[in-house]
Amino acid sequence: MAGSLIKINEEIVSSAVASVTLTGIDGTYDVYMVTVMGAEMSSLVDIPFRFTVSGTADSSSNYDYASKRLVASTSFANISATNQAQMDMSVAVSGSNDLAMYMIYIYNANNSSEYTFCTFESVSTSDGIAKLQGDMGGGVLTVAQATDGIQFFDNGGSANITSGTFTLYGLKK
Amino acid sequence: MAGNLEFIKSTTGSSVTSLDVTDCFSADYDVYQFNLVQFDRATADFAGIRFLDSGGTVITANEYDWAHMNMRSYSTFAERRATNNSYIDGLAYSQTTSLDTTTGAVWNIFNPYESSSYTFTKGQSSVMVDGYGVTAFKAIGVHKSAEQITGFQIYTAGTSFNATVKVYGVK
Repeated sequence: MAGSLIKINEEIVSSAVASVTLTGIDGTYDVYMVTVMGAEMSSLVDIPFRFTVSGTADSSSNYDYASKRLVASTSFANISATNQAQMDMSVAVSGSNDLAMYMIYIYNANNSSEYTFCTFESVSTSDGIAKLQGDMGGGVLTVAQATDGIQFFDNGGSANITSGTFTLYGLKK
Repeated sequence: MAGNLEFIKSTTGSSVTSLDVTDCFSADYDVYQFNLVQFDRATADFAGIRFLDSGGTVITANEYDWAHMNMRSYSTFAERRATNNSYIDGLAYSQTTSLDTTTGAVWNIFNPYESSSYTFTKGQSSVMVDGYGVTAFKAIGVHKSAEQITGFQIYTAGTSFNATVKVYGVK
């Protein structure tokens, strides 16, 4: 059956890597979707992301984001930041029963005269104790430029991504 | 590289107290989407989900954690949550069988068929509450037992409802 979700790029992590970069965003589609299935880190850290320009991560301090963090065991939290070097709407995942699942929609990426926007949803067992948390929010890279991909990494630089399937899709016009 | 949102099955229940969507998960997909395209009932209550094990039996054990934000257009937002519960709440709500109080919902389920992993879900629902207005749910949930899941159940406290569910695989 024909569909409108077109797989563009995928990376399956089965041994530790410092980062995962998915490129392939261009003018073919207006909206792109990224799924992250079963991501886990080598130590207890978040898994933030940033966009790439010509395949290289944009690490400038121009990321703004906000989200609501739903938690099954305690009160919900507001997460927000401006002028960051990455977007971090994630929670720390490390341990046998910690896993993170993301679904990110990316808008305006290929338009060099517009900012790159995204909406973000996640569900994770986390904090090394399988604590159910999920973030629902959005963010923007406040640079008018064309972005062509997304990179997941450890902001502290000490941890690796040890598992997960990272997939980039285009939403067919 | 071709990819798709591929239709798997549609299940409809009329005047049922629960609705099992059986054998919709397999090794063919890691991520699934289901749409609740109709949900109405005569008695006001929420609806949630439970999962079906490898034998198709509904899992009723207290193995579910969930949280959802109820974003009401007519009132303040409300947080609801539970751990070690017997179902995941926040899928739907209805209080009459009038079509203007139905629920539309899209949820994703991650990893259901993988026997060594928990099964995760997240979703969002739009609900028209008769006499008040629209409310939206943003929800997350997990079944905290590493086992193979083959389907799910639309679960309520026991009053009858009408519902249609469509399930897709994300290829």
